[in-house]
Amino acid sequence: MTSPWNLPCDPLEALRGGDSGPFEDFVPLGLAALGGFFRRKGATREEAEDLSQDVLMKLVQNATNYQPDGRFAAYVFRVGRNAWIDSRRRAGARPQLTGLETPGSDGESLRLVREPIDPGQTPGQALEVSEQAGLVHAAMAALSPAHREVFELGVIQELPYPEIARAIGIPVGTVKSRMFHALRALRAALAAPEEVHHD
Amino acid sequence: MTERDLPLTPAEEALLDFSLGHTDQCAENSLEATSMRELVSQARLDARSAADVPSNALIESVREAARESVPQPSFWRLLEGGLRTNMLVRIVAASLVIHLAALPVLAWLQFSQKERGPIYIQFEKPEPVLVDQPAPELLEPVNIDELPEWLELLDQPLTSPDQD
Repeated sequence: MTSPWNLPCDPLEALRGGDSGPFEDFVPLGLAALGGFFRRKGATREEAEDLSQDVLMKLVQNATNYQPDGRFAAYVFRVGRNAWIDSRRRAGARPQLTGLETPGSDGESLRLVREPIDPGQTPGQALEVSEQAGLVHAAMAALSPAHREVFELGVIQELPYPEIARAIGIPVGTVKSRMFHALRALRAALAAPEEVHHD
Repeated sequence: MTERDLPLTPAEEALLDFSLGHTDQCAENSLEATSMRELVSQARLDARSAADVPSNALIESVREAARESVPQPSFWRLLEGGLRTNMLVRIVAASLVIHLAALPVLAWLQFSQKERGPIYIQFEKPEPVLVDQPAPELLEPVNIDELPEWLELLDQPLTSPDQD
């Protein structure tokens, strides 16, 4: 598995040691990953950008207190998760983990349609892929918040089990269990797409 | 722990590992395993294609904050680096240490002596030095009438110092 979080070194540890280079290299990846993370939680594009920036700024500001005992990715997503919960509290709402069901406030629905990667792909094939992507999107929205969170970190962000466990604060065994049942639920939902659309 | 959070069986765990791409072999439930693996692959592709590309301004602002957060090398850090690498810096530092160590000793020696009295300075006139040179010859006789009044003449003939 080629996870985008397989970094050559811990950027925060390097930053704490006086070398900002690794963290600067990480910034585009971090902003993109966190942006998607917040978007899939239901943030608008602007809100996702602001939250991503806030998270990275917090990482920079707290770099001196960073303890590299845990994995970097888990730490980033733990800070991101807390930032999301805080933003929901500030907005006067309970932490919302069902954002995939709702379009952003800018009226723009989440774009989970894959662009044609193969240049030789016919329009019909591209449409088929897009429809499949829409089904995956709808099935993900049907997952419970706990399962969707594990799915997000394990499948989308490609974090290993121990890092997911650290990020969420649950045992590794629970992570595996939730991941397994999330995948089964998604498969079942994709096998009967009509039920998902009508729910 | 909910009912769904119960531990997985070894077969379920193997199926999960195969689905996530942690392993390439799954002995049981090959149909389910394959479809779940395709599902994972599809979800990852969708997420990557849907990801918003962060703007350069946003990237640069965070990078700038990271650069500014790094403390500038202090004098002591520079000194430490110099001591490790440069022999001249070592010599200068050693000299500095020796001088600083000698300073309190010199101060103690200076202030531990008894206090001296006032200092008097006396200038003495130098004694005239007789130069052994011949007296200049008088070219003209001296007119006695033109001598000043305070000069007392003796009724003796003038003699040269050599004749004494």
